[in-house]
Amino acid sequence: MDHNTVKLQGLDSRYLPPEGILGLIDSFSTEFHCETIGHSVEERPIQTIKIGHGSLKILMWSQMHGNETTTTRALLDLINMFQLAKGEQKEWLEKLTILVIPMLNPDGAIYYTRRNANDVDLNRDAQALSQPETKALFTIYQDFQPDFCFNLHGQRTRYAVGESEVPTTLAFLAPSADTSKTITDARKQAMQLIVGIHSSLQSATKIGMARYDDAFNAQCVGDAFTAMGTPTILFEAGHYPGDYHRHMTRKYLYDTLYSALKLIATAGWTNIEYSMYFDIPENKTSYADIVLKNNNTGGTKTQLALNYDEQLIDGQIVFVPKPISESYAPFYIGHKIFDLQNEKDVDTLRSDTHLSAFI
Amino acid sequence: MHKIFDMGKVKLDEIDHQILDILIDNTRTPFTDIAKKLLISAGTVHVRVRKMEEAGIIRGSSLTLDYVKLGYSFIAYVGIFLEKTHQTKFVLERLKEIPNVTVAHITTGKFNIFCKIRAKDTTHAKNIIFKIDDIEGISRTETMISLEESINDKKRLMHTIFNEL
Repeated sequence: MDHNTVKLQGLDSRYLPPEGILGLIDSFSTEFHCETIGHSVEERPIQTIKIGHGSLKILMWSQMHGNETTTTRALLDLINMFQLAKGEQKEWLEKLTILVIPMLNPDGAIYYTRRNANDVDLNRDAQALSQPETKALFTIYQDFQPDFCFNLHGQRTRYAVGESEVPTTLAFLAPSADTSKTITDARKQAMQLIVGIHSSLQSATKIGMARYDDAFNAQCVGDAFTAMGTPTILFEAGHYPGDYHRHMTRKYLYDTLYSALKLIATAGWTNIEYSMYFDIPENKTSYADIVLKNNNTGGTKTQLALNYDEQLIDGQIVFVPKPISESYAPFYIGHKIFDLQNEKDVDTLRSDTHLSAFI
Repeated sequence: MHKIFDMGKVKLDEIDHQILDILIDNTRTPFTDIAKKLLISAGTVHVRVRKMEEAGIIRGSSLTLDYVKLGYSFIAYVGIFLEKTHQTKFVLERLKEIPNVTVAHITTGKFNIFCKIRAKDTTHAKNIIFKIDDIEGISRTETMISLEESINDKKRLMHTIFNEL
């Protein structure tokens, strides 16, 4: 089922606080089993939705970082898909049991921060388990004993596909299970699945897809679950050209999850050659949101790179450009480029509330 | 003329000064060559150098590489602005993880930290700058690229220091 058919209303903003999904979870609860599995630092409920009754178990969690909302939006569309499903997708639910945590970090979601209310990055807490949110995730992991885990995140606009100038819209990772990045059985299976997802999306679209850095960090949940023997995939919702509200990325992420579930339900991944994973180009830093060329700071012309700071103002995300790097060499590629020696560009900048300060 | 001076417990005499002058110019000068030049025995040179090492005047000798021949001809200076000054220690630790950052200073003035990086070429430098820009706590960097390393020499200062003493 394509994304347009299942796309839910009211999820257009990058800001997605708990109240934005409560009504939806309520509506899902008539069809699927919904449960509160724990509470955040500030006592907000952490909820799960269980779909299907098959023997292959998949655990998915999103918004572990409160400001990474795109995957949650796509995930809710996916649940809606199962609500509307009649044919093929209904059959998947005979094979699969999917346990979804749409918002693992509700406090971070409300404040639009990566970290939780104790200022801890939950994806660096896999060994310490010092936070109620991470404890809840590990408890559900132990109880549910998933065959696969989907760790859903969002990444910044700074990445490109390998050495190309194609922005990374989706990045995948089969996390390492140890410092030497051994290809364990669990990691191999995650790689096979990623290759399958990658090739099914590649044939349908031309979006930029990359492979995320696989340096091992035992404090990262994906690395920890892989080390515990569960094939885990990290999905990163990235940037589609011009799409700062990530409507397109949401669609592509839905397609990604759809094809991942299809591969698992139909066992379509088991014969895939895992080593093709390494043919997917790496996720490389290349971009700044804005680049100002021929910036004149007393003599030598420099390039000034600016990134948008995402600020939560009156319930809306406002993109405020902040300088990050100035140099005498053109290091960054700009999603938007302005030449300060070009009059038209200067006029455009002059009419911009934030950018006029940089003329 | 060199004077004999007192560095804590150690007194340096004319011979010590002459040995230091030779070693400053070339730390690998064999003791036998120094001995021949100064008309003393190699054993004396050995004893004098050990005395100066034990006194902490000579801390060691360093390896000087031809970075250009090794393919590392790109030098840039990077001024770093921090979000908050209490993050200085954390940021310095992260900078230390990047081997291409060869010098870093906490400074007064416009920047909070000023560092030197050495790279193969512009592309390599770019990736190092990207790593630095991505360190948590750094709000902004300003990179100045070296066009020519015109002076990089501590020998003149070392001779001056010992001449003054």
